[in-house]
This record gives sequence, structure tokens and C-alpha cells, in this order.
Amino acid sequence: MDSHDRRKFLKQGAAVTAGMLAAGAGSAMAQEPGEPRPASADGLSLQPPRETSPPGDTSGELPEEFQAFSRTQPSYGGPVGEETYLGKLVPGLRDAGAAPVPFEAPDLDKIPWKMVNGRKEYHIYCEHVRRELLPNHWMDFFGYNGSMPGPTIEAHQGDKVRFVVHNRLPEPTTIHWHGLELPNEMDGVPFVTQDPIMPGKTFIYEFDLHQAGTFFYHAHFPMQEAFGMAGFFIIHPAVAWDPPVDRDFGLMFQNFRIEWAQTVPDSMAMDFNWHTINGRSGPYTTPLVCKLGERVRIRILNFSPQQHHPIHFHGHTFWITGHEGARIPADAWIPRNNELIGVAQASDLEFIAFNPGDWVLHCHMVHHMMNHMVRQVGPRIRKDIDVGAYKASIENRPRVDFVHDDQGFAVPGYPQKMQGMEMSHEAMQKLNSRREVRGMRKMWHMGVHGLMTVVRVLPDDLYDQVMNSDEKMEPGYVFNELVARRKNQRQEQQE
Amino acid sequence: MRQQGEIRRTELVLRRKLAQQYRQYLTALQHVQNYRDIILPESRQAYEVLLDSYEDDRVQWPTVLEAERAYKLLQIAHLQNLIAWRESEVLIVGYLLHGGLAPPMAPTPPSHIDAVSQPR
Repeated sequence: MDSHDRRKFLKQGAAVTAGMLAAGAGSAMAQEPGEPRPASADGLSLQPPRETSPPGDTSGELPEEFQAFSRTQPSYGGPVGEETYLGKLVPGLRDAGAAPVPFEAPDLDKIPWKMVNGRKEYHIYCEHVRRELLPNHWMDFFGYNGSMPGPTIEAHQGDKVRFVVHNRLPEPTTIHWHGLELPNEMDGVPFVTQDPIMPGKTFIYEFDLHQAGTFFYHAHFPMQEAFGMAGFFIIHPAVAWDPPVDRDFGLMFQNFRIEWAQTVPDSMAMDFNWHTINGRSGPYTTPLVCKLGERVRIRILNFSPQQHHPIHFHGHTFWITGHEGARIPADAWIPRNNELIGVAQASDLEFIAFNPGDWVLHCHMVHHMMNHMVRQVGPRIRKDIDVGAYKASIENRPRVDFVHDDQGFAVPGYPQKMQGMEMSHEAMQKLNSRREVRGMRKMWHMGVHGLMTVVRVLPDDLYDQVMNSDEKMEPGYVFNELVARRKNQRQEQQE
Repeated sequence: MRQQGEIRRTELVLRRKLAQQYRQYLTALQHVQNYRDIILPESRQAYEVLLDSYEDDRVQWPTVLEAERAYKLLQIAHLQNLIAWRESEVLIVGYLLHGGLAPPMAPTPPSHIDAVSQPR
């Protein structure tokens, strides 16, 4: 795309966005008294209507440039407390009052249901599953319906549900419906509220859903929980929460201890070396792809055995709009860029995806940002010899002279960046053949490990090229294109 | 009569020594076979698996070195077993001839009352 085309795109994008914004504003803001808010001259911004600062705001008269909120570029939308502040109540591009957008948990399926005698009936199979945490790293777990974590149960407020649980494990189990206000005998606690479901047996849970929010289901035998037996249980509200979102993603964070050359986790361990989001470790986690300007919700569940996760998102400030089990009233929403989520807790993050690019979202515990936890000694930090030389000469190990010409070793602690992490061609193919990573920078996977994933915010045309087109796309195309457009935009503004 | 008794005693001593040596031979042979067929291959395999795991970023290098050290120590033990086995074999084939000629036993056993110069 040359500079003329880019200008054209930017103008078209602005016009389209303004149109969508007007539609969104006309619907969502219609719930507010008074006129819909006018868009700014560039068609991108929402101007707050208040002439005075909201109570508690002592910032005084905020410069105009910080009062505008744009859904297509980073902006403030102040003053603090204003509805546009950090995009707090800026709606998505969907109409308010529309049915909730379907929930999407990358790399996980949903459990199908059918209506039987007035209830949505789901069949859940508790069984041994194998899961590919990283390319060619298959591990053994207990899970549900062939998946670890289990596939998502998606239901709506007011649904009457029935879960037919088939135990295909060689040991007893139960399922607990975490956070649901249901009859005691349906709570799934072995011995306390029911007899365990014995191997080969079936148990039926039936209850009605009057709540709405982020829930989950899991076995109620602790070591089975540590062995992967959990899944999302999303209950959409009868009417979509306001402001409406365009994307509703879910990420389940888990930790496991799997010793070297083993495939079976140690469910008794209290020190962990495998970290997964929806059953995959970064960079095998599939990116969340959304369009520039959309309002996005990401529900993050920490189902780790004992470690918390401070979840950090780059390039945006999100609002905490819900926790496990309930939506939070808007007055109590908190803006953050790092949300601490404890064990068996969930947080719903919402933001306007106004900053185009590939943004990582990750747990900020450093041990959770790497895979396998391997120390940096041995051939990986040597230049003259690699592991292959040892394997080729088992009886007579290669000579190692320990002479480094790398001046870095004069600095205590060097190296801290992981050295010698090489990935096979086959693994690279698996990582980069996924549609969701098209056009990302060539070595992007070297910066995404453990509990890390990527949120891709793409303008409409690039979104279509990535998600809907099969045209060949060179690595780095999207990144370079966005950088070029930004540069072009700056030049235009200067002119 | 005494000479015949001495011959008989020597036969019994040789028979006992042969039995002991043969036991040592069998033990050494079993060690050699176990090390050759099971212990060394498995130790080598453990080392190889660890090298693979290291290459796969799943194990620390010191753990690999420990496995290599264990493999080398077992190889040394295997050499000692081989030596013991060959020594036993040579002794048995060579009529238990070992070291120099042994002086003949004194006609009076060490515990006999006549074995000391001063009667008690």
C-alpha cells in the first residue's frame, strides 16, 4: 500500500469508525438522558457533555486534547470519572440490547447441548486426555470430553440445565459447579452432598440458572483438580450487559509440575514448571484477534493449584467489570493494566481496542513467563560445542575448554536472557501455520513463553486479510504495515 | 600314615579353595553379565535420554552431568568385575596356582599342646 492508499485508508477508516460509533452511541448512549454525544470534527472522538468536573475530580479544567476519547488511537477521555474516561462506558460496535456476543476461549471447544424435556442437556465425559502443551510436547491429564481444560459450558440466565456426567476414569469423581446458587444435592462435593460417581457410572445434575457471569466447573477431588479437571461455565445475562462488547474471550491459567522426560504431572507438587493458558503454553497459545475500535471483554480464570497470577496487558488500560460469579456495578469498576487474580478467582477485563498492533497479555510472575525452567549452564551457553556433539560421542565426551570469547561473561550474572533456545522446523511450522498469527513478526514466538498470549488489534482491512483471506502473507507484514501507517499519519498531521 | 594324611589334607584344602574360587568366579561372571546386559545399557540410555531432554530444554545440565558421571562410575565398576572374573578364571584353569610356593604346614596343629615350647 503506497502513501496515497494509506491516506485513503485512514480517511475511510475514520469515516467508517465514525459511522459505527454514531450507531453505537445512538444505541448505548440512548440509555442516558439527553442527546447523543456529538462526535468530534475528525469523526473519531467522543466529547464528554459535562461542563463541570465530576465530583471528586480536582484536576480542574482538563486540556481539551485529553477530553476526547478515540476508539482508533490511544486517548484519555477524561476528566477522571467521566463516562468516556479510559473508554469506561464507551460501547462496542454492536447494538445495546442485542443478544450477548458468543463466548470464545481460544484452543477450547464448547460442549454441545440439546433440549430434552424442557432442559438444556449436556453430556460430560470425565476421562484421561492427552494435550499438546507446546508443539510436540504431549502430556497426560484427566479432563473432560477429550480436552484439558474441559470444553466450555455456555448457557444463558434463566436456562434450566441438565448435566449427564459419565465417569470414564478408573477412579471415582464428582463435578462441582463453582459459584452457582443451586440445590445442595447438586453441589458436587463427594460424600458431603452426594456419593462419588464410581468408574463406569453416570450421575445427573439438574438445576436452574438465575445468575449471570463467569463461572467454572471442576472435579471436587483436589488432586484431580490439579490434574486438569476444570472448565469454563459461562452464563450470559438475559440481556447483554451495557455497554455491549464485540468480543467475549476467555483464558484459563493453570500450572503443572511435570518432571523431565515425563508426561504425567505430579499433582502433589508445589513447585511448577509448565504453565498453560487454555491448555497451551506460550507461544502455542492462540492469539486473540479483534478489530480496531471494538470493545473487548477478556474473562481470565486462575485455576492453578496454588499460585496467583498478576495479569498484565500491554498498550491498553482495561476496566475490571466483573469477578468470578458476578458483574460489578459500573461505579465500582477499577481501571488497571495489571490485575492480580488469586487461585479459583476470575476477573473480567473490558477495554476499547484502540491501539492497533500485537499486544502481549501475560502473567507478570517471572517464573510463569518461561517454559520448563531450565538453568543456563552447559552447551547452550557455549559457542564451540552443542548437545549434538555429546550425543554423537556418548563414550568419549567432547573436549570442553571452557574458554569464552564472549565479553559478556565478565559481567556477573550474565547471561540472563535465555540462550540456545532452538525450535525444530516442525514446531515452528505448527506455531506459524495458524491463521491467527499471520503477518506477525518473524521471530515473535521468541518473546512469548509460558503464561503469555497475544491480543491482536487490527484495522478492518488487515483483520480481513489475516482472518478471512488465504493470500500468502509474509512474516512481519501486519506489523510493518501498521508502523508505516502510523508514520504516514504523523506526516499528514505535520502537514 | 602321616604323609597320607597330609595328602588328604592338601586335597581338602584345594577342594575348599576351588569351591571358594568357583563361587567368586560365578559371582564375578554374574556381575559382568548384569553390567554388560542391563546396568550399563540402561545407564547409557539414561544419559542419552537426559541429553535429549536437555536439548529439549526440559532438564538442567548438572543433571545430565550426574548421569554421565554415574555411567562412567558404572563402567569402572564393570572393569573391576571383568578383572575379578578373569582372575578367577585363570586361577581355576591354572590349578589355583597363585603367588609363590606355600611352605608346608607344620606337623603339629597350632592349637596342639606341643605347639608351644613351654608346657603349660
